[in-house]
Amino acid sequence: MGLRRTLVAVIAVLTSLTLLTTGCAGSRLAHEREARRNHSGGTGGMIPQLNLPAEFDASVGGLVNYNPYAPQQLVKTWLYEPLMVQDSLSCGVTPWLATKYTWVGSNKLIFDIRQGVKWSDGSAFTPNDVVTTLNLMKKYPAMDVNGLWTSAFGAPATSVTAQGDQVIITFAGPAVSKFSSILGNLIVPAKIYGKVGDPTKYVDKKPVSTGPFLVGSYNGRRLELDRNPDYWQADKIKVQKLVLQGNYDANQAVQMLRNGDLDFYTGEIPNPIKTFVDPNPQLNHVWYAPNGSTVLAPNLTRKPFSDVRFREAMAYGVNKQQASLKATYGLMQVASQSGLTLPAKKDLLPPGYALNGGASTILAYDPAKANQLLDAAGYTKGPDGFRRNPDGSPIKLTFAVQAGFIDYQAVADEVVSNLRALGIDISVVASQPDSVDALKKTGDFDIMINYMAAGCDYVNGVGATLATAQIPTKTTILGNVERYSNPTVDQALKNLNGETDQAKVKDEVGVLVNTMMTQYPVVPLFYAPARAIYRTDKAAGWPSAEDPYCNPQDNARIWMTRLSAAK
Amino acid sequence: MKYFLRKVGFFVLTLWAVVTLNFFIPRLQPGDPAELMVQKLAGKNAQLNPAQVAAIRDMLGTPTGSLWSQYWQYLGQLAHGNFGVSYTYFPFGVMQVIGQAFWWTVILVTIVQVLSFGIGVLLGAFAAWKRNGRFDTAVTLVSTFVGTLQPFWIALLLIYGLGYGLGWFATSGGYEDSTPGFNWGFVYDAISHGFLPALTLMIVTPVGWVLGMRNTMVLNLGEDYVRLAKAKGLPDKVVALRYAARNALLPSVTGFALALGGVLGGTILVETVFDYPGLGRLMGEAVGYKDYPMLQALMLLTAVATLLANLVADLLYGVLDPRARRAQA
Amino acid sequence: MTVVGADPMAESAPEQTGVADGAKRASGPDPWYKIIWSSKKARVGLIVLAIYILVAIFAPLIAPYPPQQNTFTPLLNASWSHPLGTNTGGQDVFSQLVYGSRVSLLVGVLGGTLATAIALVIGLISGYTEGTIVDDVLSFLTNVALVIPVLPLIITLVAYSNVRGIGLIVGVIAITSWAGAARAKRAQIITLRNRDFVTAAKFSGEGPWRIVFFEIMPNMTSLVAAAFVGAATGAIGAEAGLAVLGLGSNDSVSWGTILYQADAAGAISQGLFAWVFVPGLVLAVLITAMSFINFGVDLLSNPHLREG
Repeated sequence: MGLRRTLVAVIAVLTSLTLLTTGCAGSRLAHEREARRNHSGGTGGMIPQLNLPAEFDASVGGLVNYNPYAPQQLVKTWLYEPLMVQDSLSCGVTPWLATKYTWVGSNKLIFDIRQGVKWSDGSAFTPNDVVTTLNLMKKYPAMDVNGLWTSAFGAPATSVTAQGDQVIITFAGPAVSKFSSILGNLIVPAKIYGKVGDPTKYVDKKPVSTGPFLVGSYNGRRLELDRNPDYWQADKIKVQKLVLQGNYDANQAVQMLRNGDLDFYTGEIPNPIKTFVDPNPQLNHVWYAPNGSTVLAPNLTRKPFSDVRFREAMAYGVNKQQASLKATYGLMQVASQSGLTLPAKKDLLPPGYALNGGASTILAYDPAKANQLLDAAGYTKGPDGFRRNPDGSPIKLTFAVQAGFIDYQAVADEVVSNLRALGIDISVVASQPDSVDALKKTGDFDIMINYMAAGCDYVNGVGATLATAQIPTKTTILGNVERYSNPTVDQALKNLNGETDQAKVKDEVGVLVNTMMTQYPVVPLFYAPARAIYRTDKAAGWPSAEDPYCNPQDNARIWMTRLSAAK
Repeated sequence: MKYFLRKVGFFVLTLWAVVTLNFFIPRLQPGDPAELMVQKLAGKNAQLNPAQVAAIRDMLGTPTGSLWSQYWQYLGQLAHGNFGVSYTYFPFGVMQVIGQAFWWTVILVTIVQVLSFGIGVLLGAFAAWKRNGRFDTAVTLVSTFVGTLQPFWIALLLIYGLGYGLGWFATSGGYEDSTPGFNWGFVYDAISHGFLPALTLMIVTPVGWVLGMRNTMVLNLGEDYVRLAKAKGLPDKVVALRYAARNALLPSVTGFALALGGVLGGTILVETVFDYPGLGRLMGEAVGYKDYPMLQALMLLTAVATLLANLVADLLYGVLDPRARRAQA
Repeated sequence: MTVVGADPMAESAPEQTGVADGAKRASGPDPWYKIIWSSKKARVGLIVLAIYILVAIFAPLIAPYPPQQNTFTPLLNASWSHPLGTNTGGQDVFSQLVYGSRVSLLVGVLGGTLATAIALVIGLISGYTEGTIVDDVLSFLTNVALVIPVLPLIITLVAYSNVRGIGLIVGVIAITSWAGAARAKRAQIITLRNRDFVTAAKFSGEGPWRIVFFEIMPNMTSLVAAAFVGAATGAIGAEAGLAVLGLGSNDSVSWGTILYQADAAGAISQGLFAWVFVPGLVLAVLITAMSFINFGVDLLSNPHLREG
């Protein structure tokens, strides 16, 4: 019976070990949570600590690199800074390391560089740092992530020079549409990055930066950033310590947010109102700002989508409200057919559509009208109950959707059942996301879901969905997945590229809106969100529906200057 | 001697086949690493920035020449022990990254495997000894049922039950606020983070050992030498431990060696769910990002581990049981 | 991927040692079905399996709604009209679960058959020709298949087809899971091929193909059956594992798919417990039942294990 006794002993030891660890761990976690709560009061209007997820989107810690031009770096937002920050919702430009910009014509851009900014090692930030950074991108194209020296968004730059406190960028041709992307280049210190050869291969372990925070400690998992007391706008930064830690999936993020282990989050979480806000509406808040549109992209080179009358019928024949309910838990509004995100961009609508903030551009679900349009266009039903092309050939379509994107799949199911109700023979085919990307390149699909950018630069925002030059190639995915081509649109985009006068910009954008409203190249379903999921127990002043001062997802630099201690 | 030479020859040949497959399998998948990386960094609802894609292609270095010449280049690099630079962790080398993750997985897996092997073999042996008793029935039924549960499902229940529900254990990461090294704070931190992933793996792994050990032991208990020992009046304990269990252990030990090799695959899901900083998570990530150099190195590592374990098991078997030499060749 | 390689480990040890008796006793006094039925576990397993098969056959009568119908309010909690609630797309989860039994059973039968067939052909030929170049090549193939990491291989195979039907999933499972069984079969035939009846067949001038598949294989029916049940069990688990990773079939909803959707929709965070809990349990019960049946099948080749 010795075997039994041994067994019993082993089990007893294991059990007690388990209880021991669990007991300790339990009390420890609870203790930490308690400590955090007590901290949350704040001292002297300052916020002692905020917890955010890691900005490093990969699993293995311990490899230290703060280089902003590596594909992944430990800190993306809080160390190195750009010249200016543009809010992608309102399109307002906030001066940052530059105080002012001026276009001279459409091919020369002048930045006035801010005086009195210091690098974190105490040395002065100068226009030379800007010039060096931007010129390094010419020498090392791998660093040119915003396409300054390529013809990506407009004419390429030809020179970047300093003149007193100004930095002058000249371009080979009209380059106004490059503005939004050029702003985003992060400026690195010339005396370090100028001497390391290819900057993308440089491992930056001791960052010398201009930003609001300094690296405090990093143990391979938990990164602590301390407030930079010498920051050039230090008076606006109330957060004393930022803790960046962990990559969470949607479910874990909800739990962390609920427990107060995270204070702000911009990723997807399931059913935010039900899982996060409802348990504590006083402290837990979400704001899903319209930031582009999720659209149906039919393949315009194929029947029946090559027929504008069919596309018009489709625009009325899909239940966008229901699609939004299933894909976004009803958080996102039905999108405007104009391609602009409303109400943010309502002032850009041409007079014909401007009434009531563009209400008429939001097409309601009207299957009767859709049926009527299809009948009128000659899509008569055959004996099998399905409609045929006007030339009598049968219609049999597939909806290509990314397997595993459950929101997209729910939309595809909804759209397909709507269209089948109209008598169109269509079915869903879900494939690997990579395979769907491949279809975008080859054009071998009938219809799919695509994203239509909003942004502030209409050539590369709305324009990317409509320009002939933006039709995907065999090797590169571009915005015009549906393969729309129209010389009038191309001309308008070309004009926009050289246009700095806002009144004229509105005219040209009007051409795009008219195209969207009459040609239906794509059918916007609902807006795609920029998310703010946040708690107000430690900090107040987050961007919100009531105070939409910036895009919460892309403009963390701005909201960091607006936060104050919770009352 | 010929037997061992053949074994080693096979080992080298298989290694070459695996290296070749490791090179071609990832590259036959659709998708472009540069586009994928930009898309992942920007999120699903974002337009692909073509300038950024071009820059990243520049950075990672577009492969030149045909797939075939790339393959020869890769073989050359491997021969020099050069595994290349990771795409995801650029500019860090693949081996540097793997070095960071290696011990996390090795320690986790070793503890889990040794514990589950021990528990499994003990339970199995005891169940066989008391065959058809209540203990036997309970062990067989429970271990069969538990072994069929999906690891993913168990992880989910554990995270919400023990992690969030009761708040006993950390649910993500390998540690939190301690400094890695040999200090109590860190060891404690690592244990409280590693507990749930270990438990998830533990629930599924002992089952094979339980049933395997039980069945072999039942067979052995029916053998003549055990009956003889019993007839000679040796105590039950001695018969069970010294005769039946020891002989029944042989297939289990070789099985254990084999299982160790294949264990990395099993950790992909669990490490990913728990955001555990080990090799499995790294492999899942490399698949997702199409980080070819990383994927190749990890697949090679897995394959070499499995091959070595196989070789050791085979050789061991050959030494321990001469009858098996021919059958196992 | 634990899902794919899980079963050969557990079964191979007793089979190899028991093979000699198996060939003799399988033709003994008790007919095979009596032996299987004599095991209490196998009885339970068979009854449970029968219930699953009935559910699969009569799914349209049992399920309250068509599984694709997406007209309900999304994300309802469990209620009388939706026993397991509804999913993100507004589909009834219980109806999906009922129809899902068809997918699992189909994958089990097809995947099990295909994997066993590959394993038999390769294992038996390899074992019969032991020591020759044919054996070397086949053993080499088996070894490579055992060693190659499964997950990237599966992703590559799955990504090759735009349409991921059941057929593709079955094929992928079979291709990635035959090797362990092939190895076991090879070892088993080596112990059988020097028996008198094989020698007799050789002398009567029968070809090797005929000897392997018509003389030797019938003598190891019980081992083949056990391998099949094992492979089918593995295939059902593997299908669920793939679907949980988002790599399942796209033209049908399996239990793994339901679990995947539940996780992606944060079912537990939303308090929709039945959505997560029941499919996992239903799957585990089926696989357990199959394993129990295999206890009974093992008795055929392994008389020592018989109860009583």
